[in-house]
Amino acid sequence: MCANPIIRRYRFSQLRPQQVWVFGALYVCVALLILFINSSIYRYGEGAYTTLTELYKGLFVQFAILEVFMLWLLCPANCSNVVAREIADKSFDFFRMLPIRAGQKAVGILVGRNLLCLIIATVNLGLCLAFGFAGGIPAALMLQMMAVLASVTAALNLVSLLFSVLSYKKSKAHSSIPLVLIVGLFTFGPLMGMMRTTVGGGQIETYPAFFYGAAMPVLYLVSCCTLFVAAWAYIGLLRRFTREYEALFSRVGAGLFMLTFMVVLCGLFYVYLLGPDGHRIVWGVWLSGLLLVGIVPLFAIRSFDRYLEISRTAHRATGLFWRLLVNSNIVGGLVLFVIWLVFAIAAGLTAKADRVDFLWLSIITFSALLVILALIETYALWQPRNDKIGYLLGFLAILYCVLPFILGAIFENETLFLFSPLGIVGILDGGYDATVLLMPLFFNLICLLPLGILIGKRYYDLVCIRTQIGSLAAHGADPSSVPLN
Amino acid sequence: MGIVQLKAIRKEFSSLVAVDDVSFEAEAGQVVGLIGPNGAGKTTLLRMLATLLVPTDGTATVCGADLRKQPLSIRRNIGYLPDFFNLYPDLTLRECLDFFARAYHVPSQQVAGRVDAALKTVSLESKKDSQIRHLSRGMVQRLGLATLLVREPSVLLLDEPASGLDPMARIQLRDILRRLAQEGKTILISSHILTELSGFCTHIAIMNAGRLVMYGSVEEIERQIAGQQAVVVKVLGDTAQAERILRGLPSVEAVAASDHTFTLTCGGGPEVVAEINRSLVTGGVGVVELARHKTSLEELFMTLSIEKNLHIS
Repeated sequence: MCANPIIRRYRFSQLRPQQVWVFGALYVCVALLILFINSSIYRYGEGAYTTLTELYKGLFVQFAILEVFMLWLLCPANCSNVVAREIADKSFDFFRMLPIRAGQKAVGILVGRNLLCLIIATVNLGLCLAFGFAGGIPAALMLQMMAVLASVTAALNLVSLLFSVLSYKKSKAHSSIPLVLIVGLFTFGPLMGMMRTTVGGGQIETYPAFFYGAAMPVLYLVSCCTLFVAAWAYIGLLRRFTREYEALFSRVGAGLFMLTFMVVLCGLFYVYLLGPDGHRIVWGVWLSGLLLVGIVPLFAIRSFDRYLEISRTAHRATGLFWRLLVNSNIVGGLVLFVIWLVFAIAAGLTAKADRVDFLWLSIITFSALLVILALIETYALWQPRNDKIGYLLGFLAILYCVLPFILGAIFENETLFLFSPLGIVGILDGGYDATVLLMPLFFNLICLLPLGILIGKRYYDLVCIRTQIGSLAAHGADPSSVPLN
Repeated sequence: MGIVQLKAIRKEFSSLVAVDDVSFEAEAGQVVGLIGPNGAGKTTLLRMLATLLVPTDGTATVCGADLRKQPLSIRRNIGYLPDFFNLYPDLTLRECLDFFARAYHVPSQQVAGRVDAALKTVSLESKKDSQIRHLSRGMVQRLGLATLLVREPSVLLLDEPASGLDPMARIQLRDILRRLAQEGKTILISSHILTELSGFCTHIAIMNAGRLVMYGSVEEIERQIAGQQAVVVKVLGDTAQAERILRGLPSVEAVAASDHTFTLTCGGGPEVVAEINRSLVTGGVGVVELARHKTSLEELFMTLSIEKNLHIS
């Protein structure tokens, strides 16, 4: 880790004596304040701390919250504007060209940018653990809490850095510290209460949670789930540091993410699906999976440049149209739907869910997904012609999701909710007959018509561009005169 | 085999073809001047070689490593200076160069020495403990060059490196680049200000609208464009006698006289110049000056612009 040049670079700027002195003094003041207030309460307060053990327990909770504040709020805030700052400072090209692996870059930023914060957090953790042992908190509980602390820290910081990298076109770097302070202020109370309950003899360290029937302490399961998020955020970072101009997910990556997510989701719900309420709990599995089917394609958009690249290697114009379609964002999204469908059927069978309800849910969701994917495809294909088209398509997408709810509320007709992709959930609880359920299906097909025409037109344009370039090149003329957009 | 090899390299953006079918080779010790009007594709070409852009088509190798397959290996061997850049404002000059040296795997025991040497070369040793945020634009530009010197890359890709430099620093830059070329580094340098490149480029790549219009050594390009050489003769005394002798020489095709100076257009090589000198001296004419006229890059580019109908913005 010491050999990582990025950590070394941040060490220069983070560990300047004047900076260490200021933040070190700040931490010492906060720590002394906590100690002073708590010891005063113990000595002069009535009933708050009756024994010394309770005082130590209280100190453990407060230092743990301080640790959480540093690792879950300050560190991610530090990471959230790293790339934007590099771009604003006009040094991003140098960073991109560093001949070190993407993993080293990610670790270098995460550790280097938070170096001072991590050093103070380590000192704080030592104090926290000392008070924990003195307060008689079970070692198993502290171990589980540390596992959650570490995994959530990793996940939050990686996700924060990933978002920083995703917004690499940003030219202004805003500090997130004011936001962190506000969030910290509002979460302090609930967090304090939660921590007190956790360490107050609730036996949470022995409370079991299940993953496909395997029992483990609930905090370890939480830790594993956050590690799953952290692992994917890390993979995303590696991709962004090596292929800056491509989408976050490749097609294979999106499929794998969906697959692993569904495996984890089904694992978390499996035991409950077998129970008497399984037929209702399965909705949670279906809808959580569907949410991802709708979101992942947004991070896997293939741009028009990619279509140009795909069409370059096509030898015949006749096959090109289908080739474009197969490589399109629409088919990419449908692959995710198929993965969801397989797991959704398995979950439905396990929970003995209503097959007719599921069938309708799948069909209408499929049609709604086609509309969303067609909007994404239209954006990808038309954006080079009109870089503002995203606003119009985004507005249409919001309208498509929200308008049915507004109209449903105005006309006091819940059936209208089904026309929104967010209202499809109503199918599961509504007991609608087939005639009613066919209406949103037809509505979605009608929505698809104009989008289909726009998409078809651009595929046709691409076929024409390549045919023209091919024929000019064959006659020895300069093909660069053919406009590509 | 060339240190830098490009074969039919092409870069398409959604709205335009930025670089179209460009091929050339550059050997060790060559200084290749990329010249062309704004929007010719020079920066895109350099950014592709710097692994910052992926070519849409074609292949390229730098120091034997493939541009698409081995970008990390290429990054270790090249030094790229973008046209507009800044360096980490919160670091001192010494810290910044230390960072670059270590990031580019310079052995630890050599880092301090190289940092000092690089700072001395760009005349910034007195500022070594100042933070970069306090440097002027020109100083940052010089520091950028120092970040390349400290790691001694085999190939330097410089995009408009003299912009923002004062005349003294420009002369310094040329001296540094000449020295690096003598040490066997390959340098690709882009500019649309031709005087920047005059005098130290060994090769010229002229680009326009994404295409390589002409590539070769400066002499080759001069020959290609002019076909003939120009010789300037200054004489003493009887100019009529001198003109008679010069017009009588079979290798001289045209003579333009102005006061005591004659500009001759003639074919052949240096032996023709020797023959002119001999004839004038034998004919009793005092020769004060005799020189082959070197075409400046501006003249080359303007001639080419007219011949190839380039659009200069």
